[in-house]
Amino acid sequence: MTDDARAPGHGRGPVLNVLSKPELARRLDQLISELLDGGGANDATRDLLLELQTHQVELELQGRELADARHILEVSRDHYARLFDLAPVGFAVFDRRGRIREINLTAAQMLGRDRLRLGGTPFPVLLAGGEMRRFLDHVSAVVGGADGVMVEPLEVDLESRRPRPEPAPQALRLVSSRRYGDDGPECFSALVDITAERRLERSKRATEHRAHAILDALPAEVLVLDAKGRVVFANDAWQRFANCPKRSTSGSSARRADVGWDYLAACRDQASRAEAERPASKAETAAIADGVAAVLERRRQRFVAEFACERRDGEHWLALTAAPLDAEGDAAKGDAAKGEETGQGAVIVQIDVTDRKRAEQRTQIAREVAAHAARVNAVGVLATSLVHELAQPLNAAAFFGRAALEQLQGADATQRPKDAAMLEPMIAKADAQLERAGAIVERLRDFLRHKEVRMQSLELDPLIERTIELIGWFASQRQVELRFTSGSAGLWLLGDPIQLEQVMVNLICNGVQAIDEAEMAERRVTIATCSRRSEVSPEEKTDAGSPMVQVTVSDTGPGLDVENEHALFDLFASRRSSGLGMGLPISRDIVEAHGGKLWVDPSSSEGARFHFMLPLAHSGDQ
Amino acid sequence: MDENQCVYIVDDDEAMRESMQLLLEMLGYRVQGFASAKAFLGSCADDDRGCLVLDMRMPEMTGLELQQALRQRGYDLPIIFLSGFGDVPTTVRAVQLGAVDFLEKPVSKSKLTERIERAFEIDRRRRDDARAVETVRTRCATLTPREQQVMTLATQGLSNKDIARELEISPRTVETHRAKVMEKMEADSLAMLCNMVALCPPGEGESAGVG
Repeated sequence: MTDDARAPGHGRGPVLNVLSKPELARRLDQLISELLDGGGANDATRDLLLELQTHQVELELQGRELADARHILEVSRDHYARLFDLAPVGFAVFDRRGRIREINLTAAQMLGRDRLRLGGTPFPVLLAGGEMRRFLDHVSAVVGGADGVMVEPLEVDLESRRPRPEPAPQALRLVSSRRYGDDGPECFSALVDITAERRLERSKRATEHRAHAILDALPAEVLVLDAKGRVVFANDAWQRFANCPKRSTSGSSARRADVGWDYLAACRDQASRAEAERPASKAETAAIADGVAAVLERRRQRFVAEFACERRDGEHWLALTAAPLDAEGDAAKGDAAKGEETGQGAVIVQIDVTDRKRAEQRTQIAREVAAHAARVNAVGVLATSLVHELAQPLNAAAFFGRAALEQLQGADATQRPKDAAMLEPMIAKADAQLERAGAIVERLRDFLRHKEVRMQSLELDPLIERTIELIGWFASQRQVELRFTSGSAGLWLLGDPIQLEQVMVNLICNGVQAIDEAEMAERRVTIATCSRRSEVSPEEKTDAGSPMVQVTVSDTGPGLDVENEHALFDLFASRRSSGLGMGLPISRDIVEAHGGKLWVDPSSSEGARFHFMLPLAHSGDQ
Repeated sequence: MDENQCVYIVDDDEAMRESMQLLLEMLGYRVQGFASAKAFLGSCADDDRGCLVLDMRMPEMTGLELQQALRQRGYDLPIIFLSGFGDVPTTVRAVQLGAVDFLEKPVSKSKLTERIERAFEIDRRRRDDARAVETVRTRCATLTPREQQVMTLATQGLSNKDIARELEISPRTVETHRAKVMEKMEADSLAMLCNMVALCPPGEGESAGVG
């Protein structure tokens, strides 16, 4: 400190040069006391000299004070200069033409140049080609802009011709404000190295790009929605789907691909408009809108729907899945503004399931063919009873007719007019019998002819009664009583009447045959119905047990070989050579195609007991 | 057609029963209809004449079961079975049990009347045969045991001499017995006597004679 302190005072007075401050103060005191002591000697010259010396010492003291103060200032200045120069942020001042007026060390380092050589350098030469315009615009916006208006930060790429050490910045962000220098307003900019930011941005973009590329490569149509149901992203497949010329507007899903387009609203709109289209389409679209909304609002974890859609090459079936999408954990996501506060939304995926649907349809056709074959087969088995059943009324009708004829050809021709009145009941009776035969033929024809499945609402009890009518003679010929105990009055279900009738024909006939073959003493087949709820199983979509009706067909036969339950339902393991046995697997098929199930009671000590369960139609669905 | 002959119809199908009855009555037959086998069993009598038209398939008791029940009672009216579809085993069984006919519905009037006539004929013949047997049996009863023995041996083709040797009596006595037999049996020839013996089974003759 003493060395430093001496340096500023260098050359101020040879006399007092070497003296320290306390020395000088002591010297001053000495001089003053000498001056006071000089009362005895009125030597004016000496007084003057003393006085001058006193002044000199005082001045010296003041000089020293000043030097100290200056020293402190210098230290302070150096301190701030270092703060400026060595700040972790680069600073630069540009004149209105973009030349560097001042620049701190950090900034010079960022630019990889010697600071001393940068003064006066036009900044654009340090930038990548093409950045000059933007920079100058920025500067003039700062310098010439209105007061108090913050100019948007500028991001510029640095020129990269010159090889620079690796961690050197590649790009800078300039945050600038106006400053008034000697020559008027200047642009004072903070320079931030945004290389890492850029790199992150790039890698994020690459990730996003890769994700999109993957989504684009998918054959499925993918649409990403924000929390409000607006499009955030649509993959290529969706865009093709959206751009597909709408030959008809059928197809239940709204289709566009522009980002920001409100999918949900469009679905709802379409649901309200879809009048002339296929009647199913309107309800389908409404269901999709509701389902997607439920997923968006997190009321559902998943929504699945299938619908038909017209495409260039004909009708396609699409399976739509909506699943929630949570951006949580995706902290780097910059576009928070776009994705609402949370960045939540939903993904909608549409898969073309036409092949599967066609396969299902083929399976259904095959099932119908098999069912029909089984019915033909059943009629073969029932043929004996059937012939008997038909012969009865035909014979009766023939006899009545013959009797009428006899009446007409009666021996006594004169009696004819009188007897004409007797003819009427005979002919009426013959007619009634022919009608009876006709009805049997008709029932049978219905049972046989029916090939195409027609689902319709039907009441269960009348269906069972008709079935009993159809095979009543089969049972009565074998002296087996058919008893129907209804617990399903007024219950309706959705199904194909002939196929369901077939199931019951099969179960009842099996029971009758079993009783007959085993020559049981008690000969009765009971058909009982009751309403119940389906069991809740995890794979079922229904949340609670849905309303079902259960039909139980039990016989007083010898019972089943329970170990063989599996073989019972095996199409190729029919027990019966006469052929009704093959009806059992087909019956199970039919019931399952109706959304129900068919099973056999394991406890079959007292005859066989078959059950099947079918879902009820919605009430009022008649 | 015999005045006493009647067609008994047993069929649970009312229309079938009614129409058949109507037609047959118009054709001049006496007809009685029954709705079940039990109803018929309850009213049938041994002196019924005519034939039975039975429906094969009936609840409770089938035609075949009725046939068996009647057989056990010794009721022998000819039975015509009617069936919607006569399968071979059922038909065979019915015929084995003595059904005279087996018709499949629908049956025409002519076929039905033809079969009824044939059944009536059989019924008549059976009545006649029964009557003849009864006559023979009555006549047989008047024979002495010796005469019976002579008749049996004579109808077996033995000569008087052989019979005499067999019975250890004189041929002369045989001749007397024989003449007595012919007289009592009202037989004009040996052939006629043979027929009568055939009608009246030898066992019965023996029991009546020797016993």
